[in-house]
Amino acid sequence: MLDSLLSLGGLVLLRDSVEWEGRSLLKALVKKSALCGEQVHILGCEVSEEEFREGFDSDINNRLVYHDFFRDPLNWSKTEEALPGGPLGALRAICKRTDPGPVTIALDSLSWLLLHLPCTTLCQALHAVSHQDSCPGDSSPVGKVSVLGLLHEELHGPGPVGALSSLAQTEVTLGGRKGQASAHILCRRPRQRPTDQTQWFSILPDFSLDLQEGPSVESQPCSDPHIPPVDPTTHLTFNLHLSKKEREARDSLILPFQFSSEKQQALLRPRPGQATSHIFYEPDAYDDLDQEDPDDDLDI
Amino acid sequence: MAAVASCGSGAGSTGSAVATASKSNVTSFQKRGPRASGTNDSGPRLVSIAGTRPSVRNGQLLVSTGLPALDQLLGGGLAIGTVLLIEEDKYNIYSPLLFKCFLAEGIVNGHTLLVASAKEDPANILQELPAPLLDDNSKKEFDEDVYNHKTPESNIKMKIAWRYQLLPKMEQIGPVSSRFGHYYDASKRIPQELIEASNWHGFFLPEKISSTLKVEPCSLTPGYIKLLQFIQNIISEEGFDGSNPQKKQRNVLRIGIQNLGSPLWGDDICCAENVSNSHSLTKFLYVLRGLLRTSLSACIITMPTHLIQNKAIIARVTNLSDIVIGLESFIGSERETNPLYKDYHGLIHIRQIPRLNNLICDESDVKDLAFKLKRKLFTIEWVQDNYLRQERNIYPPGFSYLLKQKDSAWGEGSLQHSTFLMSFLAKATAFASRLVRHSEPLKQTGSGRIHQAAGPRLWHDGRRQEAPGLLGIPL
Repeated sequence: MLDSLLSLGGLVLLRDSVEWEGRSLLKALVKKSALCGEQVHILGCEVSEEEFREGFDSDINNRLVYHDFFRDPLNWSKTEEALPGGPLGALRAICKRTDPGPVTIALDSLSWLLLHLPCTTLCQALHAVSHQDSCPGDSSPVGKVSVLGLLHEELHGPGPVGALSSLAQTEVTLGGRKGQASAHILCRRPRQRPTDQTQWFSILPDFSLDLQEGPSVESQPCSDPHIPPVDPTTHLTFNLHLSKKEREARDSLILPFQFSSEKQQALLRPRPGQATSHIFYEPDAYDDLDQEDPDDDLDI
Repeated sequence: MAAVASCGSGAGSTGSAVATASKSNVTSFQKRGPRASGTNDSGPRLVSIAGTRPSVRNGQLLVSTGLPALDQLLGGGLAIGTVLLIEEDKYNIYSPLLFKCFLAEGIVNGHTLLVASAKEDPANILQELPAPLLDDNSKKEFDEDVYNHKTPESNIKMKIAWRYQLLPKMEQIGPVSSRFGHYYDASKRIPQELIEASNWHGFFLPEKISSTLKVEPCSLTPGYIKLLQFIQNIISEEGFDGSNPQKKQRNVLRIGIQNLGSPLWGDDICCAENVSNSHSLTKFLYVLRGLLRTSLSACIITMPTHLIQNKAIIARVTNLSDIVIGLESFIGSERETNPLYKDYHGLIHIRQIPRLNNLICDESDVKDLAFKLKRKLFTIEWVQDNYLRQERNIYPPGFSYLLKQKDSAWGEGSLQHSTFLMSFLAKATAFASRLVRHSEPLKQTGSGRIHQAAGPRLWHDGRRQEAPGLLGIPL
């Protein structure tokens, strides 16, 4: 699934950390989309252009359109090649192009943009960019825009990360174990349950993606293995289970408040052999034979 | 008649007037105002707008929220002039459904809609509204839904807890015939002609704020200001606040605002904890409520409160809204594996219900409410219903069994380890059954009286009570 991330479109958030860096995955995905023939734009803010282009072949390097905001982020040199409006202006300019065909925009990195721009402006711009193709009645992939954003999650608090992940269509969290990198992919489709999946991978030196199985054979069960499901009926001093015979007897039991038709007939029908009903009564020592005076048995 | 005779010598006209008056009425006072002759255009009458009804509790005019189960929980519906705030679930799957049911109810009833969103175009939202379930085929669909979900255990009728079968179900099966609440099919879209026949206004924020304006040092973010102005314009133009005397039938405006407070509206309460402009949203709600209270409108707002970092803002927002409902879905949380919740998709928390012209509010007693989105329908149920269906979880299986059967498990030894509790319960039941008089007069039975009554028997009025009642414990 890692290789089909870009086919869904929208904002793909790559969350990395210090132990598991995400720039190599970003470059691998960029290379993949360049090989597919899509237009690829890179907004480079965090590393220099040479460092980003390092490791790519020349034909891929020719296909990448690189917007450099690393060398001169505040446009002090005032040259013509600097794009007006900063990174956001560049984003909007990319979207305004009328070239057909899918476009992939790689943001390196979103953390840099979050630190330099207000979060709400960035969210609004990203939303405008990634939903540009949702015109009514036009479902062809012409103009489908995928935005790949690299986010260093340790740099930000839960607020901006939460806001960006609520905007994102796909969220890839990098992790790993024993030297093996894994990507936990959470895919939010608009009106369906989010699906998540963990994919083990490694990046080859030429930045192609190598999907792998997990590092060791042990497979994690979905529930926590330390806590087995608790059966509350064990270790009781009374028995809560029924044997088959007991269960049958219980099912055939007629409760006193249930009025079945047999019971009704039995009650209505006069019992054979008894014209009138007799009450056999043996008085107690405490019993009061005189029905009229209730205080008879008080000894005053 | 005496009055006529005494003042008959007076002014003749008044005398004759009095005479005619006294012929028709007993008094000479005549009621001003219209006669109760049933004419439509005279006199005060109840405002009868389609899709509304007065509340039986406090007389407020109510509209349906689109889910009859939710209407029941809120005490009949959403009062006109109030705000229904829905706290979204984490992945925003179920709150859009409630939002759309509210709008679909407006379309079905012919109300005017105002849809505001910063995320989706309102025209697209309206295209995705669920289709209403009509009378004839809804019953069939309900039945097949019920049969599909029957498990073998639920086929056992409740024998011991039989009284619980008489509990009213949380929602009625079938459409409500009074046309107040409708059922919606979440898998089908609303017919296009219904949308075109309806009157709706849309507010899509990226269109209204098309350029990057400088943020003015104002207390409200520009998006909120524009939305409030838009709402105010619609209310005054279409006369929902009574400003233009309407010749035609009065109508209700249903306002729906999606994802309020998210960063797409320009508000950064979701982004940071110490926000520069933390009162923007609360002022918006305050002004919005003022607009609603003076017009015939009802509003639904969905808000991603799980993203708001400052909990004080959530508390303020809750206080400024009228009804607050929180949705908590089980996706991704540890409750998903809890067997108690296995049939449900999430919990509904009713956090606040307003006290409108009342001292008390209609809070329902049931606290554990869960919802599930079946193939077509969104149902809300009490979580314990699951237990009541499997009654052996309440009553241990051997209980009544040991009271009644002769060849019970006593002999076989399986209940020989019965605890004090079990035997105590058995004895308590036997004692209780002696207390209950089965409506027989005292004369017939002699052993029905209790001899161990505590204290002297005192009769209240010195006479014997003829009908002691079911639980005749003398004091």
